[in-house]
Amino acid sequence: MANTSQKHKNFVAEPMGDKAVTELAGVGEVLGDRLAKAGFDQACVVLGQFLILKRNQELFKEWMKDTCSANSKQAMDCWQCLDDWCGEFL
Amino acid sequence: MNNIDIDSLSDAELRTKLIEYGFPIMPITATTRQVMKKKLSLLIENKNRVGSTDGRRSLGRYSSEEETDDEVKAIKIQKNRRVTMAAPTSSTTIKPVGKFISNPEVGTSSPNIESRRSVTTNKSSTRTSRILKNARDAFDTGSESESDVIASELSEPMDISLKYEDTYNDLPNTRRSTPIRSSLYSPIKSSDHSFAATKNVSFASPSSRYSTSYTESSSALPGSLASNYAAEALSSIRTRTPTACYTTVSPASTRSSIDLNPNDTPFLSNFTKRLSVLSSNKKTDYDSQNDLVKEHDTNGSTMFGARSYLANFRATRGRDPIYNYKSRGNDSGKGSFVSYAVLVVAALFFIILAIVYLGMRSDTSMITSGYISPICNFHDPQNKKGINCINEDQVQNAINLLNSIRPELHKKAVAHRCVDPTIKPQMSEAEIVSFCQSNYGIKDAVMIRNDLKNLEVLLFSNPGWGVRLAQTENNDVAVTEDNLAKNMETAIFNLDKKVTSLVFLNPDVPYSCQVYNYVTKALYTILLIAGIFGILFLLRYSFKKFRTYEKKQKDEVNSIVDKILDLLQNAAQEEPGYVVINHARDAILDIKDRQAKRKFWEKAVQSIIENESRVRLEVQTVQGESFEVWRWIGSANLSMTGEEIGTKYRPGRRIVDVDYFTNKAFKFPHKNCKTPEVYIKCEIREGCFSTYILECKQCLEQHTVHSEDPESDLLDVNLAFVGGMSKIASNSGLYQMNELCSFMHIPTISGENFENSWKKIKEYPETKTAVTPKVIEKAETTILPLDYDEKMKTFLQELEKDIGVVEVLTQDQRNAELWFQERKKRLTASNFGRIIKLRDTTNREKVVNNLLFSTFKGNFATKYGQDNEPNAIKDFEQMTGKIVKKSGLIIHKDHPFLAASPDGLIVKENALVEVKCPYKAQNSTIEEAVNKGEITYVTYEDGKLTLKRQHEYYYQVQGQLHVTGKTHCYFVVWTPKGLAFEMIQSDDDCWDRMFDKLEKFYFDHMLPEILRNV
Repeated sequence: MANTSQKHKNFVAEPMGDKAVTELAGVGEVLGDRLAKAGFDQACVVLGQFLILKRNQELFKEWMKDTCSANSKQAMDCWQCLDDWCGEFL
Repeated sequence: MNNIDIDSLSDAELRTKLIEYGFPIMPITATTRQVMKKKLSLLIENKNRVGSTDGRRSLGRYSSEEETDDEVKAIKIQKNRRVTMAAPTSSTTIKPVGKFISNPEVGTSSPNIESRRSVTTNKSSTRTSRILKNARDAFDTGSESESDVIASELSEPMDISLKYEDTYNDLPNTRRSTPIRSSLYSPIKSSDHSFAATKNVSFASPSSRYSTSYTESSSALPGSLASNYAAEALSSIRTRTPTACYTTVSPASTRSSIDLNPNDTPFLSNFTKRLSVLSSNKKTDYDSQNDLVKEHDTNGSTMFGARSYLANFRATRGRDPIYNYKSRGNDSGKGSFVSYAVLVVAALFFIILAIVYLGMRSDTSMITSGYISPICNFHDPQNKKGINCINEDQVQNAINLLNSIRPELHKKAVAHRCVDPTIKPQMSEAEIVSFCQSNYGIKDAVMIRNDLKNLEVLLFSNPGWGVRLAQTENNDVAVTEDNLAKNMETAIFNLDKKVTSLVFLNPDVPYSCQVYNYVTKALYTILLIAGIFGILFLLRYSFKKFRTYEKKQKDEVNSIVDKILDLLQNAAQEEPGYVVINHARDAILDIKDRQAKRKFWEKAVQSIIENESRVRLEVQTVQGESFEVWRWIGSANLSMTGEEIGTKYRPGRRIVDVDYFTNKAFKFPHKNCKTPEVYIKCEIREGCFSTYILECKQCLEQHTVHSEDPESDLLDVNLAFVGGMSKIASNSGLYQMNELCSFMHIPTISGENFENSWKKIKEYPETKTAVTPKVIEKAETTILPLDYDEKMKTFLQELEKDIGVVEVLTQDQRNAELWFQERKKRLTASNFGRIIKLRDTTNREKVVNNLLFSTFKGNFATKYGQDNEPNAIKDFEQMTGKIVKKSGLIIHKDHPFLAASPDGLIVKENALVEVKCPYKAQNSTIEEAVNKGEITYVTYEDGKLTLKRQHEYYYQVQGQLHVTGKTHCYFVVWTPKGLAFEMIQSDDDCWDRMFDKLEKFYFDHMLPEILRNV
């Protein structure tokens, strides 16, 4: 992706600490709410899932769609965001 | 396999299934299970699709074969053959029941060359002709079906026909060669025992070594096993179009003929060689074929079927290749061992040579010949005896003397070098004499001296001996290179003054000594280097220390600065608002540390004076003495409302010295930050003068910028503003100024500040300013600092003014600037619904900001509404016969903070009109739109429109009714296809409820914000 959102930049810029799940790119209030209801209340929990799926884009997107009915773009943004973060900090 | 299966799978089963389908192992957890199930079903689906195409292919394969009657067992061979022989592109899927396998994919898709092999074993020899026919058919049709059948029944007569068909595009060419071919085939028919090769072009050429070998083998052993030249065929893809068809028929009667005799071997080796040129995978393939041939070789025809089967099987299981690798590995090992051995031997030889050579070197050997002896010639006037020549008879004596003292000299020199440098290497003349006397028992010292003199002369002419003549002041120190005598004449010249001695200057020292010397030298060097490095390291370390020390000092200074700023900020809130510098020091530094930290303190003071714009240095009289004091001007009372100043940046215009400001702003000190994102973190306003603290989001560095140069020659902006205002009109003051500022959208000067400026401008020396504040004297007004209540009062009074005028002036609504202006100061009916419906938890500040500073300029929907409003009103007028007139902004008579701008007023009726033109419903009638959910705020039943009582629009209507004081309102919903309206009566209960909320909202939240920005 040539351009990333401000949210993406912010997220990737620093360790995630205990950021809320809504800090993830592609996850807004609605998705964040759904994720939180599914037990994924923090960004790091989503990261865990991301890692369990071995950073696989396809599977992670599928999971996002399943869990919080994200659309393709949101899921992709979120995946990209986590992947970049991992590239930076993992 | 279907999805139901997948659902019921356990985690472990799911995982195994996934692995089965070639999917990498993933953890299956509660959260991933769903995804994995999907993946699996997808994989299964894919697999099924692939499987079905496979099935089709094998079916086609099945139907294409015609003559596979017998030989079920041959299938495995078939398979192996297939693996070994097929062109690399061919797929090798086996249909279990297929007795006969062709490769339609290859056969149909690649028209150039494919090597085809068909081994057909028949129970009867009559079969052969059929095969041949079949083969011919294959030529004719160009189809490349392959038949590969082998009989395993050993008792039966076997017709093994290995057939290689290299079929090319050029079929006519093939046909042209029919004569040759028929000649080939005929022997088969006649004798059932032949070896035949067909080659259209190049195979027939005698120069081909393969053809030669063919001839050989066929002549030597007709009817032996024939192998094909798949490799040959492959290599000749571009150049030739051969059709080779070898048929071997070995009848039962001549079973032995299958044995290969030696004549076949070159053929085979050729074959193998040829194959080895090919690519590696082909090679292994062909190796197995070779293996097959070998089996023939050793076991004969009786075992042929079974053996070949075995051999092939083995080959395909990859044993042959493994064996090959092994043997290759052994070979290379052996070769390298030999070369290593040679190397070692050579190295040993040279080492020994070196040792021998070094051992042979010795200078202590006797000198008997090979020297130059300058014999005195009496005829030569140049010769001076004892100086550059000696008598011939004395030469031998001198040499003898040299030989006797030489070992002693050598010993001494070595001892000097190795054992103890204090031992003198030289022997003085006296020492030599006494040495000779004591060791050799020669009594005659004069003779010795004489010989010695001669020897000295000889030494000069024979520098190769290594013994030199040296002359020193005394015999206490070891001689060096400098002491050597240059020639005999100087030696004789100095004979009396100096001690003459012989010395072995460069002796061959023993190895141990040499090694010792080297080691000590190396040690010295290492020590030296280590010393240098040590010094460098020390330097670096001390530099580092120095840096950390410096940093520590800086930190110390910074912490003091921070403390000072804290102190000043606290002090600013109390009287007298400033802090004497010395007092600040006393407050911050402990009395004990005061002396020690004096330096830091001075630095901190310096840094505050230089870098801190929020602190002003003044001289104040404190208790009768003048002190330098600091005043915190950063937090001067900026707000007119008297509230604690917010340093939040407020959008709006500023009066800025652009040149100065941009210059300063561009000097932002980024800390290695690639994508600077500077924003205004806060703004400290002092009237029109602002100080901005910029911060970079990336590097978090901060930077302070003023709106103008504080040390500029120009009049201070506040003073200038106030002065300017007073000049415009004699009675203008704070209020007028605020009015101006609010129009300009400039944050204005606080009352207090205004007064200060006012006073200052009056005292200001006229000469220095561009503004002459002369008029001000006249225009002295009684501006008092306004507190919030007063400000509010003024504002509310202002709101009450000109209510009627505003209404008339704003009848154009959106087109009238005043409409926007007045709306900004009040709550308007269109927002009532929103405010009523606010939840308690909603942040009021945001709502207020939205209302006051909304940047919403309208969109297609609002535009649609605005454009169609006149149409709607026209339709409404036609429908009802009422006359609607425009309305401006109507302000509540008792509560001037409430206002409404109805869409229209009904003439001659105490009513108003509110029109809605829903954009969504632009293609529907009202009824359709309501049913479709395009309009949600009304119900529509039996042609009767009803506005939902809980909807924001209802509050808007009620608000309009009460603000305007009308009794009822026609709520009109209009679409291009229809119009409906409801007459809504004014509802006092509803209004009472609404009013409380509105009032609370306005005074608690909106008014402060308005006042802050006025």
